[in-house]
Amino acid sequence: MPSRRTVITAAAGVTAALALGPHAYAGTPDDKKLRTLVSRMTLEEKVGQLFVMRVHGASATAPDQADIDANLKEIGVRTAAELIARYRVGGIIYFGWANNTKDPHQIAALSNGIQQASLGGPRGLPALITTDQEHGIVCRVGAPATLFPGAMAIGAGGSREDARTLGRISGAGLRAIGINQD
Amino acid sequence: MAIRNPYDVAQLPSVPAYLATYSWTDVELRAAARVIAGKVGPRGRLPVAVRRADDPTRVLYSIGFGLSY
Repeated sequence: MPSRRTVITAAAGVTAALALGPHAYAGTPDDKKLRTLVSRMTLEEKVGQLFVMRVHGASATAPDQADIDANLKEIGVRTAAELIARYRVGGIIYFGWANNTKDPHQIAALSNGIQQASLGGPRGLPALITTDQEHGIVCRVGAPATLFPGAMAIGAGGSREDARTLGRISGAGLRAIGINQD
Repeated sequence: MAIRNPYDVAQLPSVPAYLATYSWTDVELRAAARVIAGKVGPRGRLPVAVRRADDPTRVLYSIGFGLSY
């Protein structure tokens, strides 16, 4: 019986291989495991993995009633957890207007709830959790996240090193609250 | 002072100086205030070309243009 950590790492590796192709996969390639996993997935599951959806609510399982109502109206489910359980979506994208990004603790809890719902599904796949943290005028996660000028200002600065530093700091901040794709 | 894209300067041929901040969030406005107050010097270079307002086929300021002191 592998430890929980082993299971999560293996599942994350499979997702990385699916999303980025074998050359981008840093771990030991295991085509057999991947092919076995994919061969067991239904068509609906495979299609679901291609979708990154938006969903209202600050929590994956217990959002405000207004968010539940908005979700029922727009996508026919009550919560992010139900969205994953019903449609097996590959990921969820956060927006401020969807009440996803209020403060770091709330966002981290939302991300954990989404991963719990996704890893607890029949294939045990982790979810892509994403947002538009472009800096400048498009920042879905506000302070206390470190906020930077937008890309055109970074271009005016002319420093690739600064651009890399921005990406590293911004990515670390997002990762700390469970956002694994920007 | 341009608080979003730098292109508006093409409509303002008579201004003696024009500061491009590229956006209007706290980060850029704080940086602009430091430049205006003389705490730091302006040293950015245009990452895009600004075209003439009366003839967009002609470039008014090229990529890489910028003034410092």
